[in-house]
Amino acid sequence: MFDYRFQWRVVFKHWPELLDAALLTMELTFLSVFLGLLIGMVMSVWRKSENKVLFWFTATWVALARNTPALLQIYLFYFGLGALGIHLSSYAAVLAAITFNNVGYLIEILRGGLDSINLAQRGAALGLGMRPWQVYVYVIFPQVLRAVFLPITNQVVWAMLGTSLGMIIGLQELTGMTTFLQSQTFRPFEFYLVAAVIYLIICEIMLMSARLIARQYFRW
Amino acid sequence: MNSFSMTFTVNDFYLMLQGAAITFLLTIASGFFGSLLGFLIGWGRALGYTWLYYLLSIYIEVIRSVPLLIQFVLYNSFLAIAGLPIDPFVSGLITLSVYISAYVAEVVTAGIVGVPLTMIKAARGLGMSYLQSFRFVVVPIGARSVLPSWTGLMLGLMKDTSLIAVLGASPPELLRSSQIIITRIQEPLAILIGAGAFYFIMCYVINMAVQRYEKSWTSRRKVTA
Repeated sequence: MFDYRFQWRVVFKHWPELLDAALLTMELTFLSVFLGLLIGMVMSVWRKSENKVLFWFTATWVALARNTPALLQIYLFYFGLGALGIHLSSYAAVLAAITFNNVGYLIEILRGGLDSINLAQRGAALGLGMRPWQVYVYVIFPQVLRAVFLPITNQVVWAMLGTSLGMIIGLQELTGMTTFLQSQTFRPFEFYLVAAVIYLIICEIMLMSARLIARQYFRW
Repeated sequence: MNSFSMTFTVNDFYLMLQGAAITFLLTIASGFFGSLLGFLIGWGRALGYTWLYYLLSIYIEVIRSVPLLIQFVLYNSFLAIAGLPIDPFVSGLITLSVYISAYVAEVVTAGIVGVPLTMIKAARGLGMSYLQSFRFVVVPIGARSVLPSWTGLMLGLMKDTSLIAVLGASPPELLRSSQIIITRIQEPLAILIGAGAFYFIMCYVINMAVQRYEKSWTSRRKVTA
């Protein structure tokens, strides 16, 4: 049953490519979470606003992003927009789709955080002469981010897993590169196992840096 | 020889309908097996043995931080090098079940640990055995508290079944069958929106139903309390 000879040397010959691809995965993850947080913070405020248009806009975004597969979202950004004459590169399509997906989840997470903040603080800050945006930037969101820090790190891991879907539209991030290399060398098991280990390591690195950031900025 | 149609035909609709049925079937089957496995793992973590807790936590951690795509291909190529027969559909089903079991286990542990210790002590004090107190006290109380997150996991699972396409599993599920049709009729937007609408409606309706159910649960509790 088990007369298979593992060949690891092929894999390590392609180590530089894998490492580059892993960096691309991390870059995509970081960008999509960063953009997602920026958009998500603005929209989570809209979600609670009295303006009907803003409210429905965010509610629709959340519902669409959370109730359809991420792969379908990537297809829509890549093939769907292509049909309308807007041709995104696979990099841009993956970034846009994963960000879109992220925002949907982050809005709900941040809204939960906003609910936990005493709104009297908003009145107090306004009374001190702050502008509305200053109230959110300096008073509300530092507390919100602290309160929902753990769910956000979860979302970071999700975003990283999501970028692996880029392989299907031909982006050579870690999964895509692995698929490309194994198709050249016919060593799928070795390559995918190494890729899995790299993903684990990336995940640990991200969680650890998140913990460091939390220790630095979210001290009581 | 003009049987090659470039428009959306009835057969295409049937293909998508079949795809939807396959998506549904995959979700139910892997959701069932995955929840069963996840329940056992989550229970094991809540038993209170430190070594078991860490062992199972590693299992969960590894599965949660490797993309599902990689897990699919990895398991499939493992079968290949082990010389076992491969049916992509079955190996995909197994991978999905194992994948979701890690997420379910986390939820189950949270549910079990969330039951106040005093309740368990009271049950044991009434003469129940460990298994009886687990069956009649811990599970009913824990299940209520984790129902929403479990539903969320199952809906996520339904969306993740679309990735089984990388194995070339046949018959194709919904997203793969839409992809096949798109390749022929070159109308990605309409077909994708159609497929998306199906996922959306399924998720949305199930979510609503569970929220309703939850509400009826809580209101009933208020009446009896």
